[in-house]
Amino acid sequence: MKANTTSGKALRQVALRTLWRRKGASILLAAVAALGVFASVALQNVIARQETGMRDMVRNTSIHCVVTDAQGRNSEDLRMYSAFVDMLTGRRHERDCYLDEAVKNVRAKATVQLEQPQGMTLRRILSFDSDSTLSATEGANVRLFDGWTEDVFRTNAAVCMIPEGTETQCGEDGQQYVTAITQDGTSLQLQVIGTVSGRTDNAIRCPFYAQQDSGITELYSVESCSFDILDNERLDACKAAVYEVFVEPSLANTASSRTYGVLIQDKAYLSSLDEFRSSLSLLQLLLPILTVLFGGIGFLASYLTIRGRMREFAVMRCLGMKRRKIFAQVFGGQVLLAFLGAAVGGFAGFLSERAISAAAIGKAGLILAVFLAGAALASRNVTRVNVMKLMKVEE
Amino acid sequence: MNLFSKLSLRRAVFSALLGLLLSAAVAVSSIGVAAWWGANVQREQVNAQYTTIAVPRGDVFWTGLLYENNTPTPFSCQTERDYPGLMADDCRGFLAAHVEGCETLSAYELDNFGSPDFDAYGNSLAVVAVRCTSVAEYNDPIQQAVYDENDELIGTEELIQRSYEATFSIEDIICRFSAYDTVLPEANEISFGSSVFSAEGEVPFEEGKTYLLFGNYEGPSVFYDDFAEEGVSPWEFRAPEIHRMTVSRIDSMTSSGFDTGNLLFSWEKIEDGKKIAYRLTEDSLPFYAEYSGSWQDFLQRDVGQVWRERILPMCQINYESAGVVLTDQMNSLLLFNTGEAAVLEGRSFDAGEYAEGTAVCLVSVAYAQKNALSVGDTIHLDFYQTELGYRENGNYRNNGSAEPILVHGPCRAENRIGVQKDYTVVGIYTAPEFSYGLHRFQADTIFVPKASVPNASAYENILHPLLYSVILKNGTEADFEAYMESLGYGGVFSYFDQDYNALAETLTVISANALRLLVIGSSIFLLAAALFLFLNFRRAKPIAYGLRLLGILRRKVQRELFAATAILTLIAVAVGAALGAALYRVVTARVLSELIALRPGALLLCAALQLLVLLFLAAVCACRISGGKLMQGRRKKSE
Repeated sequence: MKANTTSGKALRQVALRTLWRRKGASILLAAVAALGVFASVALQNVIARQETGMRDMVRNTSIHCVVTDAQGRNSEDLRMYSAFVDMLTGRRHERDCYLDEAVKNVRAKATVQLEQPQGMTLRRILSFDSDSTLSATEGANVRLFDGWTEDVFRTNAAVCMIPEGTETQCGEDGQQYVTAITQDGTSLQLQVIGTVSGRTDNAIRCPFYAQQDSGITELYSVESCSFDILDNERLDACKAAVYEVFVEPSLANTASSRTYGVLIQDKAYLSSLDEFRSSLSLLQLLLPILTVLFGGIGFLASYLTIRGRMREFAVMRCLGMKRRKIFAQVFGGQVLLAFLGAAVGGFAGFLSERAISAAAIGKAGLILAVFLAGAALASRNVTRVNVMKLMKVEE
Repeated sequence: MNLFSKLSLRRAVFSALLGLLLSAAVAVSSIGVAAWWGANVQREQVNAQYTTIAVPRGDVFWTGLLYENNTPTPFSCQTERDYPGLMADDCRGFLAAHVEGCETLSAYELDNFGSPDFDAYGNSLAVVAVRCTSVAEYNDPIQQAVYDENDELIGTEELIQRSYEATFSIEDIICRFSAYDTVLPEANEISFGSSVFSAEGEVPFEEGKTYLLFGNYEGPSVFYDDFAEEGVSPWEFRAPEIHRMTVSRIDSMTSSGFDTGNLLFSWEKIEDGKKIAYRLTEDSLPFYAEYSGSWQDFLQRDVGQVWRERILPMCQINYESAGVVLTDQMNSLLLFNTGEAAVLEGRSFDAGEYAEGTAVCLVSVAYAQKNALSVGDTIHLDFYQTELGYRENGNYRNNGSAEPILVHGPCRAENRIGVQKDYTVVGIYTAPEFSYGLHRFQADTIFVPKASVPNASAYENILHPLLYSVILKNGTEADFEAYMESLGYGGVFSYFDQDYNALAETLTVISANALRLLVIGSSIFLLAAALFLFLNFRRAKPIAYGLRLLGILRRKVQRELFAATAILTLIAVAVGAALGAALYRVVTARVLSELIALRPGALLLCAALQLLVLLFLAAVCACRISGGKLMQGRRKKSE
């Protein structure tokens, strides 16, 4: 037993000495392993980064949808029932219509002529960008009084913005108010929360649902409407939900006052996403190729580095050493070098990314395993040397 | 035979394995390079799908930015300034065109009676024979700004603006856009008001006399009923039988600072003390002519020549006219950039069509429907250079608003530029049919590549917001704005990037990844090359040493050693490149993207470069191996 231990220790020392003696080959073998591990870690990191980038893109991109008539002729002056907007904003959930679970950032405007103040209109909007005439590019300058934000236009608050210079009344609370009376005699008392100056029209702008209860609202004639897709990861489902209520605009459609189209502007997004996906797929497909290739390289490198030691193995066999022991010695050396290389490669991968993921470790492990399998095969082939034949050749 | 080549052949397995190692490395690095190349192409292509533009805000005086030496000059032409991120200016041209066989669009026809200005100056042109039934003259006080000799405002003075209002019974409608016959209620009367008087400064009409009237025909005034029942037009005519003719919109225009819309007639001011009025200049077309008897006889006489030969044919041509925007990039137009306008059928222009000026065009859905056009059809455009202006919204629905409507002057014989071409419709776009705004266009606007019209730069007008955008490199709007701020022009522009920012980070990742792939591929190649050369020359070293001992010249040994290695290298690189190409093809065939498909040119270049590197290293190694000192070597050996 003791003799066995001693001989095992001696064998290990011989193996180490051999590795040192053939340091060129050892370094190359370790370097190949290091490169394989580094390549797999780097590739895995590249894949992970690409996946994160794609996820961010999917999350951050707004897919705009513009409501048009059924034929796609017009997206302004739609004269669409506000019930459609109610469905988009989630105020109506009739007949299993949950459009608010498919869309967000609904923009809509509806204008009615006012009896009072004379010559003015009341424009209901859901946000500033619902009304292109409020845009700075068109020359409008919007100013909200302190304490008010644009978000109030998504509520049913009785507030409004007025063109600069519009006459107001002072309320009991000291705030400025405007009384808007529509042609059908409906009166709205609206608190002034801001002004619009510059190049703009004579419209009093109030929240789309101003003075409306949260239930079923009055019907307005909506001039324009647009919105964004709620969740791009569920784009197809969201589109399907939208197209349950609206149609895809086409010249072939029949114009109708009850049918409206929605132009979903996802072309650039989908095309970019396709490219990013293809790029990701390419990277994902490169990893198995790299694995197979390093298996091959492992075999080749091991074979080439140990085949020069055949005479040594023959002598060992002549001295009575078992083939298994020779294999263990040779393969042990290869394993040592491979792990050394893997450590260096892994460390280099870590340095390049400042982090190493579990997936990267897994992929590196796989590459190392394939590499070692190749090395084991090479060691097995080389150590199964026919001593008699070898001696004959040497003679 | 080269002794080293013989050695390679004798130890064929070893040589083959060595070659295979190099081939594998070449294959991996080729795949890396191809992936890097593909990723870069992909990034550029994705980038090219997004256009970042800066458009001037309408509430600030921005045109000062475009002046250099008192001449409007686009940014890219302003040599002294280096604007960060600036790629190009899209200085669009504008022309009107007679489109034979294609009628223009009328807002009335599309159930939009809100503003007759939408129809000016195409289908609104009309000639009617009338009998004057009443005339009333007005003298209204107006405030006029007074400036000193330095153009500084020093105050206002009160003047009297003369004007008149006349009503007529309609004798006959000689020329009017055909759709008006069905869309508008039947006309019995027509009203006419203006500040343009006769050459003598008198009201040009007298009760009971008959006249030919020429001008813009407007439907009866309307109001909009928000509560109209389904199927009933929400537009209600106040006095359906009374229509209107106009020659000018002077009265409503003077305060706005916009062009007055005086694109049909030209007139001059006549002042009589504090009273001001206008009269037509001598070269202007007439807007009225008194006649007796029948209007047909009048047209046949010499006095009717201008009506017969110029005005009536002009009306007919303008009923088939359209505005044409000449552009170098559709996405730099604000409405297309923001998605308010989009191609619904067919496609937009491609880079080649912009560059070569191919005769292709985009028309609106409404225009295509009216004229039964579809993608692939051809339309004949005969171009006219007309003035472009804005009319303030005379919209009855949004009464009192000050929104501008873009209008172009009529096609006149004297403005014909002599360019006519057949254009193929490649796309049909959807956009607001008739809308107000500085950056907006109407549904009868046709878009064509700028280079498709000879001398297109002559029709640019960079002072019109619709016709000018600054195109920025994606993601540089912050730098551009910071620079503008440093020049004292902060906040002059609004920026639109088609949501590019949402994917900018992903594109950066793709770039970095592409570079990493290149580094990984190159590292693998270099390491394999080192292994290949080490093993190959280690094998050859004793032979080279022996040959030198036998007295063979160093150069010969070196040459033979290099030649043997070069052959092996050449074969390995060729096999590796082929293997790489095959593997990459297999992979990319599954990925289904043309952009990352293998480019043989790139692969060949990569293989050639690798071969050069290997040959260079082989030459260096051969030189070193064959140049070893024989005595030192022997001593070492004896030791």
